[in-house]
Amino acid sequence: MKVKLKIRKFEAKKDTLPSYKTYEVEVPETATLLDCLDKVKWYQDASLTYRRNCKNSICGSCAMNVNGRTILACETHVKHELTVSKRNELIVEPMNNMPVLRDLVVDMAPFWDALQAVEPWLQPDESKVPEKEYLQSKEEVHLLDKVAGCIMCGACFGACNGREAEEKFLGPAALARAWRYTMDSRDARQKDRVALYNEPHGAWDCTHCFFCVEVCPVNVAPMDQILKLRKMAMDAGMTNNPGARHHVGFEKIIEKSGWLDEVKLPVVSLGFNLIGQLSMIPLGVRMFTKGKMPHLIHTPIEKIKEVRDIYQLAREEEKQQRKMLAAAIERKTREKL
Amino acid sequence: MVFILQHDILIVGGGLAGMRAALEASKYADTAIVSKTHPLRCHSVAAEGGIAAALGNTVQDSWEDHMYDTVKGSDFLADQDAVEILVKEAPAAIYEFEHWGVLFSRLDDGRLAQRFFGGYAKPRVCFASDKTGHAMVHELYAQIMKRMTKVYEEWYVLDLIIEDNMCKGIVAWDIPNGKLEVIRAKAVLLATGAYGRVYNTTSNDYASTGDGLALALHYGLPLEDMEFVQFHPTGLYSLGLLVTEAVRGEGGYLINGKGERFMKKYAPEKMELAPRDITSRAIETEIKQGRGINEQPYVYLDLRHLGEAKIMEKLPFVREMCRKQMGIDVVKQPIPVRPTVHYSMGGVATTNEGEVITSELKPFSGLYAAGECACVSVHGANRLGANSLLECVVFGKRAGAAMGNYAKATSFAEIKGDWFPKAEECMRALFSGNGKEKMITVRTEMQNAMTEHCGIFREEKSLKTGITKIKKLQQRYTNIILEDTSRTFNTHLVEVLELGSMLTYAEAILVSALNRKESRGAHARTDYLKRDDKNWLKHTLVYKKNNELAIGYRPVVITRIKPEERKY
Ligand SMILES: Cc1cc2nc3c(=O)[nH]c(=O)nc-3n(C[C@H](O)[C@H](O)[C@H](O)COP(=O)(O)OP(=O)(O)OC[C@H]3O[C@@H](n4cnc5c(N)ncnc54)[C@H](O)[C@@H]3O)c2cc1C
Repeated sequence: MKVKLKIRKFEAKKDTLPSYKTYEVEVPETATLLDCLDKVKWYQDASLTYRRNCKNSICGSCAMNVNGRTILACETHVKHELTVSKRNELIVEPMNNMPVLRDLVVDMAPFWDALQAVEPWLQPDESKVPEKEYLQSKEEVHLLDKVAGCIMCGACFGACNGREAEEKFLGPAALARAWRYTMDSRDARQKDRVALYNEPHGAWDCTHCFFCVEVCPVNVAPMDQILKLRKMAMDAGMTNNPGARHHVGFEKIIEKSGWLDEVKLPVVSLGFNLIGQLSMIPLGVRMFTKGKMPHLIHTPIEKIKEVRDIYQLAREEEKQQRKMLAAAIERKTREKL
Repeated sequence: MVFILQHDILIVGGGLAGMRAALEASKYADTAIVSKTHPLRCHSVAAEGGIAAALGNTVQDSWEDHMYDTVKGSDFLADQDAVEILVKEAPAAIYEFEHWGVLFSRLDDGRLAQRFFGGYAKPRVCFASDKTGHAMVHELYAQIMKRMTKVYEEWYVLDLIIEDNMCKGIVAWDIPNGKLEVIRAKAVLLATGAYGRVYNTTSNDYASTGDGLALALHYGLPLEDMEFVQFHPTGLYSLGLLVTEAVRGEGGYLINGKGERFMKKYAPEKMELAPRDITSRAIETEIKQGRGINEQPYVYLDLRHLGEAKIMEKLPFVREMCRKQMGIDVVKQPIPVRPTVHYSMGGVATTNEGEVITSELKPFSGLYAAGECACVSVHGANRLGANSLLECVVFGKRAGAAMGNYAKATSFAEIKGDWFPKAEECMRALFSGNGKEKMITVRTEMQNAMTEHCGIFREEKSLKTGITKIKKLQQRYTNIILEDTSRTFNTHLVEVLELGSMLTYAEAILVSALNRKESRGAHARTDYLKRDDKNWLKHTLVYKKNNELAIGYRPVVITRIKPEERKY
């Protein structure tokens, strides 16, 4: 079959603006995007530049954007892509959120730096390292396996909304990896880790956009792990940061009135922080002039009792679950002894 | 001359062997890794099945048993002193990786699970589902990050600096920035991995172009046992991607066009779990004799009877890969497979400490090799699966320690030659873009020639034709044209350089295969059907002398196990 590719070309040291070049290749119906790129590079335009290596979804080299979605070129079937996108050509571009070096190759330094920052190595209690292997349950391995299976392709980082807004945000892959060590029974620094990941630009910078979950080629579901890190922080009483306060504030406001008080929320989130509060004024003024000012008087909704009942139910449910969990742990410990 | 870049120890290649060596060496002296791909993109991440060690977690096992299976698997060509080191150090190596956080699969009681693999008498293979290489590489790289060992990422090593019979550093091309660099060092390790890309169908990644072999050969250093090329029995037809042996380890069947489990004819006892050389020949024979599926050049690998639960627990990656690459659900459909070029038993000849040796069998100062590009030799004529990750970590560590001690005891040697200007001149000539021959044409012809003339079955006339073809291609390569002359991230340049490497040692593979007039392990000669211990129980060395390839030999070290007939 014939495949048309519209590829973004750009060379960092030479070009001021990117351009698009269209290629047409003849490939078998089973061809992947990588097969097409190889064909272009080897037979039409040797200057086309991209990374690739294992051709088998495991080395993480060939993440790029196709029709605006981040994928691995080696596992993306062009026929399928053309069918679902209902287009007659594929638009191939480099990942976002990282500077482009050339064509589809980005400089991944920001990604690696974020990874380094979460101390992504096991930190056991050096005085308790066993002679042979640590004992670890099948369930634990199963729990961590999916997340540890991350191939560091950077797709989530490229697609991340939080990262687009905040350059210092560690991003999905690094934090998912962070969760994996935090939960590993062989690691001895769980508490320090939770604190580290809840510092500014850690877990609380995530905007819940779900893009990382969507684009991950190996189902790491980074956002889920980030949310778990937040929960761990809250459970450990680490609530004195804007992210956590936002969370708690949100919960309290809804319980009180049944709907969101947009005036009060930033006040609660930012806490006792005069500069922070003042920094909200320009936004407030802009909202006012655009007619987007929230109600200043916030009254509870009619069926507020029902909302409060839901809260009550959820709390009881959680209490119950904790009790069960504690009992299970106690049983296990007794069995071991 | 002042050197801007200088490290006591340089590791060429950021794979499992290179990183393990770097980690060890960095305990002794200033160490850096130079790698043409980022370490996490190395080929080792693709290893699926597992890593062998006689832990005895499910049945009674011993290093002696592991040694016997390995030596027998090697068709008695492995050096038994080296094998003894490999199997004795195996358990500690596994525990070390486990302590670094590898999520190995477990038994119910929390200890490491172990499974069967081809050629082993016992379940001896530890694994992290079917992503063992990935799990090990990522945790090892974590240790590299922790130590902050310097990594020159995406730098291609072009040349070794060799003067006064010693290695004094490297010349490299910084791919992102398009710059030549010279790095001075006291000791250099070659850990450049596999060379499967010299063939047209392989399970190896794009970067497996055996650059380290070409560097050694260029300086007159010998390559050992290059005729032994391992074909993995179950390459996904027709892509060549690997379907791990773990599939058969967990009980998968091989089925021919008549619906028979044909392995009963070739290895009645071990059946699908016979070593790779035997199983690959069996599949090719079935295909040649018209018993492929619908008489096509493939057979079926069937795991439907294992059931979805077991497949999801033990082989999730296989299921995912078959779905992604072929649209096949292995729970419901058999997998079409054919042997694919997978592993090189041969490589740069070394001692047990990783020192590269000369054709006179003496260590060469300052140069070391480890991992798949080296030949210690622990695999002899045929490697058993799961022994190669093990080789990388055991001998990588040993080489690292040896280099560390060497670097501590020596000082930097003066570099006399004008290596930088010479390399620059070479690059300038290439960048002038004056050649005529296109990389893709020459490379395709080379890959086809190797596949046709040096495949699973070999024979004198065909091998000679192969040599003639490769020599012509080497000539044509001198007139290669660089089709992309940008200095930013020029991946075409990398492919051109890799082709130069491959053409250098392709001839060495053919010459070694032509020279060995017997059939042993992965080397099957249709004109010499039998193993011949009287004349050929010895390692082949091939090296450059006056610009021609010369042959030498290295005795096989036999300590505990006497060669016997090999039956499965
Ligand atoms: C699909 C597959 C599955 C496998 N499964 C198993 C298994 O289950 N068990 C097992 O024991 N073995 C397995 N093997 C074999 C095993 O994975 C390899 O032998 C081993 O990983 C090789 O490691 P290495 O460190 O020597 O090389 P690699 O991991 O290939 O690393 C080589 C490094 O050198 C770099 N390099 C190369 N040339 C240059 C240059 N010119 N300049 C700079 N850098 C360079 C590369 O970029 C790379 O980083 C498998 C192999 C394949 C192909």
